[in-house]
Amino acid sequence: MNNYCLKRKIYLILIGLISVMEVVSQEKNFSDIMLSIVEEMALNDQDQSAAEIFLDQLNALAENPVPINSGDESELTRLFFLNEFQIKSIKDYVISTGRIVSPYEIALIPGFDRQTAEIMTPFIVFDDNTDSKKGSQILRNNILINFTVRPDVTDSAHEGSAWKILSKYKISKGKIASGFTLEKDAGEKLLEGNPPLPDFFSGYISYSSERILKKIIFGDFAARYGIGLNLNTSIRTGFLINSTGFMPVRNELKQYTSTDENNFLRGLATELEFKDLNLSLFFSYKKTDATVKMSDDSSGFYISSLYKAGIHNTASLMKKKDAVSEMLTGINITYDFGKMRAGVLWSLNKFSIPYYADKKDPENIFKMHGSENQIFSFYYNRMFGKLLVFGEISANNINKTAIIQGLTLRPDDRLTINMIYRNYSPRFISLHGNAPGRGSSVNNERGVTGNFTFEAAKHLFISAACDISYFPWIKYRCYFPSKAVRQEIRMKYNPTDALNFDISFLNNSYEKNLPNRQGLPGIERTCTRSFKIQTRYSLSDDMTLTTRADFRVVAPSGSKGMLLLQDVFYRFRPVPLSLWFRYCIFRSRDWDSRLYTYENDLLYSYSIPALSGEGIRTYLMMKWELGDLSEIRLKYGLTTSLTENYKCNNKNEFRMQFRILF
Amino acid sequence: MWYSAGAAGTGMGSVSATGSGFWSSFSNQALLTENNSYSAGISFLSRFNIPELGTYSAGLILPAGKSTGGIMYYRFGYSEYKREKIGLACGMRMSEKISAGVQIDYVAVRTSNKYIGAQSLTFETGLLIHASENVSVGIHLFNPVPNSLRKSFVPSSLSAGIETELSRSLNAAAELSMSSGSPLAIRLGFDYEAINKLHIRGGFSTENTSFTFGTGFTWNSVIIDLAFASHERLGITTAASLIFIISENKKFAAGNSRNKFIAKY
Repeated sequence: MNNYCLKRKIYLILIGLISVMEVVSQEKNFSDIMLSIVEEMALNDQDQSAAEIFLDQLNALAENPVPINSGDESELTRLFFLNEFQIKSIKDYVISTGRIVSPYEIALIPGFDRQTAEIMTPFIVFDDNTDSKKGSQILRNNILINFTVRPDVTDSAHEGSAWKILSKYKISKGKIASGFTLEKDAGEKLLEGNPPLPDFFSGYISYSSERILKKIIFGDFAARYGIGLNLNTSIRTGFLINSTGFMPVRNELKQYTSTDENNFLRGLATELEFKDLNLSLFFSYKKTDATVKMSDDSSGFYISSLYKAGIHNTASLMKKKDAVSEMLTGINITYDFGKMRAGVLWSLNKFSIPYYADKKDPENIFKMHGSENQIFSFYYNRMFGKLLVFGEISANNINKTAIIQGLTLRPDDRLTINMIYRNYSPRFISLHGNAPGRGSSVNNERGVTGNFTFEAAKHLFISAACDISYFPWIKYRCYFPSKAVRQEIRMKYNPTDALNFDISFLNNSYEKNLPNRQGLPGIERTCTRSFKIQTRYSLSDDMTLTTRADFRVVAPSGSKGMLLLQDVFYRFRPVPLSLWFRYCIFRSRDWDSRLYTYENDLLYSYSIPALSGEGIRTYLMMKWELGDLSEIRLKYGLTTSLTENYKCNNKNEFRMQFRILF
Repeated sequence: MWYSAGAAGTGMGSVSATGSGFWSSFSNQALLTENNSYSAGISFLSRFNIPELGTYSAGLILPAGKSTGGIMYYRFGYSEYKREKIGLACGMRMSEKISAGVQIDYVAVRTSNKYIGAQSLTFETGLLIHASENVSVGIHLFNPVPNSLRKSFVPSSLSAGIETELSRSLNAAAELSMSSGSPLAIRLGFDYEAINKLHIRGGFSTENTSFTFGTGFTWNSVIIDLAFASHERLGITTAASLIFIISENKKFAAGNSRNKFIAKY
């Protein structure tokens, strides 16, 4: 009898659990355009963290989606990829027509099309009673723990275990939120220092309201003002293709929850708003990574370079960790004149010891010299009917300036044209700036970018872009003034909601030192041409198949890279289990023709492996949802490389995630 | 390549992930469900008319309700070096739109005494989706088993293709295919029923810039196919195959509106 009761209880618990599990949330897949941008970012050797920051931002937005029907401009502007026209259009539509009920309806709003609606879908909700809006007094906790290990990648020089661990915690109640992030990279010690903490620890407490004191953050925060020439610790505005809304002049002050170990601010930030006047004050003081050396005359220490990778898994890298103190303070004033918005920003950046880049190397001649850097900026945007003009000028002093000027024109709902001009002096110094351009820093670049997106026919979208950049001074691996050109054309055809085709061609050329040459380096013009074709077919809400082929050729070496991959996503309905599977065969002659493919991954974790050589990349990921309470993700990835004589070299990777919401 | 597309497939640019003939059922096992006749076939492919590079294949298809079984044998080479594969396949209709298939393979490379041979077990799997009345999508994956689990190397391959029925008598197909250690290949092909029971085929494959041409004729219960494929340097490959329709599984055929095999032949 007891046995029978026990069995019955277990059965009832299982039934209960499964019934809870049936609240299967919609899996939020980022659009192909977003993923193309991420892969393009990963290709950029000079700014490896850009892709991670961008994905972090997308993840955070997907986690806390925008209530599209709120009509609140400050909420809508969180959709950073929308331009001012589109924000205003949504706001007007909600006021005049009423609630938007589906993504299909968004495509009917003036200024929108199906492609934009598709981009927006993972980041919006149609119910405006979300946590962020209703000022709920319910206490909410969100815990996330990620584990990643690559057992085949071990190094005896590493001081800690091969596990990468990321932990995030957020607690919120009404207008107050708090949280922290802990991270230990592979090879780093789990706990170190006094008190013992993981390699990276970040936390904040924030308060936000609709009154004069709009926001106050104590702890770690991210800030962006204007276009970002002066200060932008968030993602860079302005991407090449399909960037209709990626160039807005929009301020952002928010709590820092990302994992970049250096590019953030720590201290106190506040935002005050009185009618059309907005005032921000911030003060940051934190330790930052750097290579510190003793001066030749032994009079003191100086910074020879800043270390931005955030990896501290060897004794030499540990020396760079928190080697100097950095203070950053500033004030920003923005005024909204109705059709025009303008602002001024002043920032002061100060290190505890002077920064002297090695000036024997001509590349460093214009780099920071001293311990202090001050920047003044003025920025604006102005709407003239269907034309939006925006710009920013920043200066250290009269000789050290950076200027950007752009326009967005929407002559028709089916056509958007963007133009942007930039001129960043080699002398201009902005250590926390991040603005449109090819380089990772805001200096030594002059260029113009133009692009358009056109709905050529029903369900057919064509977009193209061209960027021409000049670098008046020498730069990394390029010891002479140089030029770079990038052109891209993309065609997207969505005959039905379930089926879409995406074809893109990218031509990228740049100049660099001619290798293996004695004395003065010669000039080599490298040209990379990439062709990509992708088909996605959704058989139902529960099954999606994606086939993609990439081809890349590099001139003058003639190196070629290619891949063919098949993705399968399947969601089991009786149980809340989702599966992702990829099988990818790749082949590239060398590193120059390597290919990048975005992979579905754990939340706040990303995987865009560089596929070089010959081999197979495959992964299987599963997600198990326990209603709205928790979620478990497991991922196993395997890269098999073919070596000479058809020997195989395997690289395994395990990832686990636990997420609890209560 | 570890399979034979038959003379019909060879004539269509070696398109293998889609199609509805006998031989394509062994290059994408999901296509087995498109057959509702007990049938047997033999095929011969002579690469550049060099006997040592010949490929012989034989197969048997056994429909059984929603599932269809198949057995195939493949041999490439000659006495000093030969590659063999024996496969046991099963295709199943999962829904009105989707079919899936799997094949367990025994593969072996046999050489003369001087060299060591190798043998291995693996599998291949395929998916067929009828995206619309006239459009089918096929995906095939051969040898997803990591090579580190076996002593000898067996290449893996992935093919994804689309086939469309442009008119009642004209089919066109396109496919992307890649094998480990080989470049990406694009294959294109068409099949045109010029007159009743007489088919003309053509195709192109980027592998060796190969153009193909073929023809097929049905005579009572026998289907005869013939194909030629060019190679940019090495000359012409000839393929011929015979398919015998033993008997039709009428019970299943009556309920299967998508059975192109019977409609075609």
